[in-house]
Amino acid sequence: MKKILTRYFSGEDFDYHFVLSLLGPVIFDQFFWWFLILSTRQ
Amino acid sequence: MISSSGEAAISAVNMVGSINVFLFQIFVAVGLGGTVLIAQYFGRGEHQMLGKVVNGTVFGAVLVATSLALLFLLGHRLILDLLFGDAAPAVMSQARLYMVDVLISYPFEAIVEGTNGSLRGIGRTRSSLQLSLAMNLLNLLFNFIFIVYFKMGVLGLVVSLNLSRWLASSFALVTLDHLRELFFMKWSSMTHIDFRMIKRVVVVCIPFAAESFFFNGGKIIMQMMIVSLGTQVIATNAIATSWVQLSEIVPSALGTALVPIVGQSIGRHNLKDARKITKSFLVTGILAYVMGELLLLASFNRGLSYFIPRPLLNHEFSSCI
Repeated sequence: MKKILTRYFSGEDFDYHFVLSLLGPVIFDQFFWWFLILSTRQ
Repeated sequence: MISSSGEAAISAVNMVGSINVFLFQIFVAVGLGGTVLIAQYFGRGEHQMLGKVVNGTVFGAVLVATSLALLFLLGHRLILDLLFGDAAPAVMSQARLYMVDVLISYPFEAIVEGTNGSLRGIGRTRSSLQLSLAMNLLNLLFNFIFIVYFKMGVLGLVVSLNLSRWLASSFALVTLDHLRELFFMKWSSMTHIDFRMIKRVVVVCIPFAAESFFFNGGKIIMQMMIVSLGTQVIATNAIATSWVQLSEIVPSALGTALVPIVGQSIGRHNLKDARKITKSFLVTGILAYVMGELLLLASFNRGLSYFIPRPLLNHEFSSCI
């Protein structure tokens, strides 16, 4: 897993930890926003 | 929640919802334009420029949002009649109420989006999440109070939306104040509007705005066609659209997170990293989209029974999907 993450999500100036730490909150944010829209329209 | 207020309310919220997303994405694009510039300056190590770009991003988003709000407030009756003139009178009256109040909240939402765009530029997506979570949790809480408890229907929905956005815009300013050293920002630089920087941010945001313009414009055209099919079909489409959006979450998040990563790489003149991460995100986005759709198909019946208990609407929903 670590190998795959390093291969696809690491660069010369950043590693996959940086990429995932950026991506994680954005996914959570969008998921919560979707949940809010869904619960409002339900 | 709003379904407890009747099909007219669901239809009204959905009809205006498509216009709202269309307009909302335009000032979100301004935030993304700011993310690009901030990420590039941050990557290049020109930190003294960050405060100026934050000024351009926040004021740019507010300026665009206020202009859109004023334009659509003045012409809301005409716009709703032109787009959804076939809708039932009860739906139209609730749609007008919803649209006016959503437009009033735009400048406040723009402060939040401008701040989020700035935070993402320096890689502080967690702070941006905290801000969005605070706003959305407040919105959810107020929805329970005004829609479920006080049974205020569409009016409750807009009161809740406005209160949560007003409070969140204050949180956004507090967040900027807390992180002002990271942005090399002085409050004196935020007391005036830097029109030159706004212009730069707006120019950078044009591709983002154009993309959402065409994507969400297409949705409005679909909505116009659906309106003539009746209130129940509008409501069915509203629920179905919300449900299938689940598969768009990860690809959309990848798109948002890619901006600061690529921006910082470009700032460092490291095109190799920018290309590599773009390819990886593109492939991950496609895989996530396919998996999301398969998950939705597999959980269709369960999801349907969970969200829409009424048998008639179930039938319409199945046909729509």
